[in-house]
Amino acid sequence: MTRVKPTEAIRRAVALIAGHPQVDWVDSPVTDPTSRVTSVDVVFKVNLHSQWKRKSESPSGVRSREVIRFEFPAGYPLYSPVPSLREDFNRNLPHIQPWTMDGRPVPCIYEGDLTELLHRDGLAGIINQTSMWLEKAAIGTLIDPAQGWEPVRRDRLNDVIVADAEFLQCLIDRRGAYRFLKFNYLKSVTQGSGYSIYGQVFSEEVKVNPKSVQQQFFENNQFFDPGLCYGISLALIAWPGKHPSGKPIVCEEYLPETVENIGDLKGRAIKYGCAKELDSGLRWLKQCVSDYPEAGPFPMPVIFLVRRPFNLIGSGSSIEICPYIVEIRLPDLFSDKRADSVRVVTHRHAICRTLLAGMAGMTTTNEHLRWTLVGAGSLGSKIALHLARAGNGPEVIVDRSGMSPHNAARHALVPMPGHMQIFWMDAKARMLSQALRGLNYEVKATVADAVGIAKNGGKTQGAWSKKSQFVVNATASLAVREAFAASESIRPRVVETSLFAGGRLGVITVEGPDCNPSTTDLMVEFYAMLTTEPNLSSIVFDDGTMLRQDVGHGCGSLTMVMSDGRLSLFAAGMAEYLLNSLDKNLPDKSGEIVIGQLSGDGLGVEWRAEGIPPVTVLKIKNGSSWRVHLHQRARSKMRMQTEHWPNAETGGVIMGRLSEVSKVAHIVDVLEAPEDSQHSADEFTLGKNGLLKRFEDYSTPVDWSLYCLGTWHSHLSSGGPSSTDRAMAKAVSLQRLAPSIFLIVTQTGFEAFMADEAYLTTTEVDLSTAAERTRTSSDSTATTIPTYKWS
Amino acid sequence: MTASISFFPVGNGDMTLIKTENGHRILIDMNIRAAADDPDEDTPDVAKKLRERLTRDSHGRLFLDALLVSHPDQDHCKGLKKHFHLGPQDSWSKLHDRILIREIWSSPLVFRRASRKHVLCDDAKAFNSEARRRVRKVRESPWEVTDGDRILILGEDEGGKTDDLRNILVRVDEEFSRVNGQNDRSMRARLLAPLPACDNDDENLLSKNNSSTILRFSFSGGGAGDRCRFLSGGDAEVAIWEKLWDRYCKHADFLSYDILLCPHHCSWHSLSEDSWSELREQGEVSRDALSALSQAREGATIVASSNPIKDDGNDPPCIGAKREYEAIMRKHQIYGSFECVGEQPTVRSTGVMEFEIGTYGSRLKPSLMMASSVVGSGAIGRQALAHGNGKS
Repeated sequence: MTRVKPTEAIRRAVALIAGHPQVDWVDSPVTDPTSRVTSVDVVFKVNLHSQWKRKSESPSGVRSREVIRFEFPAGYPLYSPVPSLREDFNRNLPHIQPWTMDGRPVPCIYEGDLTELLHRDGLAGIINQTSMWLEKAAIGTLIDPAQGWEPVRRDRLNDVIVADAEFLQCLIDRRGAYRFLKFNYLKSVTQGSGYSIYGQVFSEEVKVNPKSVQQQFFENNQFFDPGLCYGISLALIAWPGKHPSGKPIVCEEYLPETVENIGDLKGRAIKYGCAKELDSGLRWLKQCVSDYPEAGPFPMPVIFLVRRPFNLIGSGSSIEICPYIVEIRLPDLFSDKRADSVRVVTHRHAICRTLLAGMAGMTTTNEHLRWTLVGAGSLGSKIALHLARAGNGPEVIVDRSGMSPHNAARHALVPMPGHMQIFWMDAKARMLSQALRGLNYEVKATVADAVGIAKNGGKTQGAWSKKSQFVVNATASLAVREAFAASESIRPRVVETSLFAGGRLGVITVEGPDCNPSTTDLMVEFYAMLTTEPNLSSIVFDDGTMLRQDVGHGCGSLTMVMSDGRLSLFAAGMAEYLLNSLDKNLPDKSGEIVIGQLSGDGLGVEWRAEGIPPVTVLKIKNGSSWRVHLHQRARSKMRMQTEHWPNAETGGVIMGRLSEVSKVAHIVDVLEAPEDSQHSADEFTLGKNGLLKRFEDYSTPVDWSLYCLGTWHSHLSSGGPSSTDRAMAKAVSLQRLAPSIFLIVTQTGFEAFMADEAYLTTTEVDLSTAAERTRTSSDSTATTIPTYKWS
Repeated sequence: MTASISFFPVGNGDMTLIKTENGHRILIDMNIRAAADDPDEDTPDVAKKLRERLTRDSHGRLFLDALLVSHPDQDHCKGLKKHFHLGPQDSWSKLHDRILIREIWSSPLVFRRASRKHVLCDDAKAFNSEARRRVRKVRESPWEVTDGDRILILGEDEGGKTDDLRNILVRVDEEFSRVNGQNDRSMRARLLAPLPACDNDDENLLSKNNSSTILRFSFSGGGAGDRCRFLSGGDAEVAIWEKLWDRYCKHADFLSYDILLCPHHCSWHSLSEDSWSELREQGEVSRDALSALSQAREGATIVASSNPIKDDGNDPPCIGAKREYEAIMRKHQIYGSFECVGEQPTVRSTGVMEFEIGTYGSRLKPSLMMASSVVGSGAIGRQALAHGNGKS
């Protein structure tokens, strides 16, 4: 043989290996002139316990000096070397690959791809992992009960079956039995006469009997690709029962995957304690097909559900799934010697909630946390898909609108090509729920007006239930928000997601327990927060960001123009917030406002959250059906004022907004009384100096979303409104179109009453005291601010 | 918890951390040199390595359950003042974050005054002062002694100085399992030395080295008792080992070990009265001393806590002594090994030599190659894996 000089990289690798503290000796590298694969034998030192040193071998058969062969591929250092053990190494150890290299067992030294390990940790990483593997093999800790049972290595096999592990593990019972499940497969013919199988075992039991069994086997090679066959078959699942003592049969022995034929398979079933069950299943199948004409071969998965002494790594179950594929022929199953071989296959989890949640790093519980999506537009659809891909898809989707071509710009769903595009007109709710079925969710689509559902209680229409954790309102509809707030039925907490300013700002509002603060309270709070953040308020209230976008000739849509990517930046953050809430629950004592702001370079979003305490709900004293929601900001300021004037009445102007749908006056803030106000023990006179400018300064930046609602003043005694107060309310009601609120702070609490022209039609008081009339808003809730005396 | 014994690379000096199966941590000696505290020096930062192996109490203080200073020489107590809290535990400060010593194990040497023949370095003086403070507290208010005040005196002092300390005194030949006032069933320790002084003892026998505390520990492993015996000999020289053999030749089991920390950093003078540099192999090895140190159990390891051992006239460490220890292994078919802390895992890059104790005895933990120590391959050094990495 021609001697091939090792490459520079190999020589360097050999020098590095020789320098490893656990390496005793390195043989000269030998390069195959054809394949250019270089083999290097390395003697590793294995540190044995003192009591094993005399034998120079551990009870598991690992010696104090072990020769490992590293095969460096021609592509090294781009590709990793592969270690293999001596041929007579004990194969009854975990973490050994199911294949060999020229008869040499291959240790599984790393969970992932060795080449990736090479590029992450360097060659030293490969040598370290090999050394650690040998040490663990010696002391018997390749399986660590604290970590869990290591299933037999089955990755990198050619045949794959997909099955819902949880479903299979739930089949097992103490009696021991077998089941037939539906199996569909693709058979890919490879070079020569070989083939590989990719199939799915469905969570669907098939009752096998002589009449129906033939329908269970079918194979068609007229598929898309001549090298590809599609077929249906059965999967046989068998599991062990119990010992005569009544204890379930548990297999504590780790067995390497060495099954090659039916005999081996039956031998393995004996080891796993399910030989009787396997035999019964095969016998019954044979009996059922005995009268059928010759057909086949058909691949049939045989899956053993094996009880292990403790839970599998990363799993809450101690049941290991050990799948194989046998070839059966009708009518004799295995009478043909050609069909005697057994294929060891890789198991892949079927798409299911547990798999998805696990991939997202979520806690995987059996309980599916429920939530409802209202609004299946671009933002809602993306949030729904993000959550569904993390194992927490919505239970119900509510949206009345249909898909339109322009929705393809940002909606999470993608239209079908060609003539199939005609289907891109169905209801968004239906289309999204259909897409989620692909992720194994059963989602109810409610194609209905979200406003009506929100107002009248979704419970009656099945939009949510008692078990629902929350409702996500992604409609960007002010009407839906108001309808939720006005709803008098018991409903889940509403989480509203909104985008503003062409995707420069995103907001999540989360209602508190018992919907206090409510979704409208939170939006009022958001506006109040903006009064101190002019940078944000200027973009939130920039009407230029809402444009009528041409979506057809003579046809437009009022929408926010932004790229899909920018929308996704916010949708992702919102989905992460909800995911976290599903995992750890929503805030339990308050509501929350989460504001996300696009970074200066437009590449990221910075989120910040603020807890919002519940509002104090006050009934209007003078017979009105309105209520006052007194926010903490306003409460605190009033308290500070009254503490500042312990021996005199004080007061000021209350700011907020009115919700006519809910009949709620939101008092979110307070302006201090002007300097010319007069305080005495039995009277407070609100001054007027500079008041008008202060109203404007407050309301203009937030585009009059907040405005003056009325006034407040304190009473030193615990008494409610005096006759003068009531008379004043009536007087004021005539001065403006919108209701005005009068709030009295007493030593025992708050009392609110209203001046509303709609209720009060007579003038019973002298209006001379209501001297000033100030128009403070251009909208229908025009406000008049009286200056008057309180007694 | 897995019991372990860790030997820190401190050159010619001792620094051994014991972790019992019940979780107590006992440090025997220290030699934290200034270079070890200097990040610009290659000397291993043993203080950092020690701190990594300790835990913090509910007040956020790193602590040792017990500290034994085998004898007050620099190479056994250097770094004490800088790295350990001395004084009442109330005066511990977060700023300095020094290690709290819950209990001190001290030889009775602390009762001797420094003299021309009994010279003490600053750290030794600080140790003596702390030990005396604790003894004073025990004498004055024994019921108020808590963590940070406790002390055990290992061996009786001459002149009856320790007679009133019965509750904190361990006499030679006594076995104890108490660590920081608690009984630790996973550890037993037998005090073998310092032996009580005799009238005919010469000055050499009263020297610091020969007053070293010698303990033979027995540790549980994997939940089973007596899985590893550890003989810690301080700097005791040949005369002490001869005396010990004389005393225990009929109870040689008291001297048996699975791990021996060979005395005085693999010094020839622990085995011979002669000078290695002058006589080399011609020097006479004391049969009795060798017998005392030959009680290795099957698979034992003899550890030299020293600089790398070279074939030269140096002592300690002494190549002659190493050969004698290796001969013990061969002669008695021990199937064990001799390991030098200064050569582990490599002479160029030393680390902590750590033995795990399990059901089947002790086992040297393997060393791994750190990326930072690797130069050469085209695929070296760590780098981050990105999302989706690993599949192609």
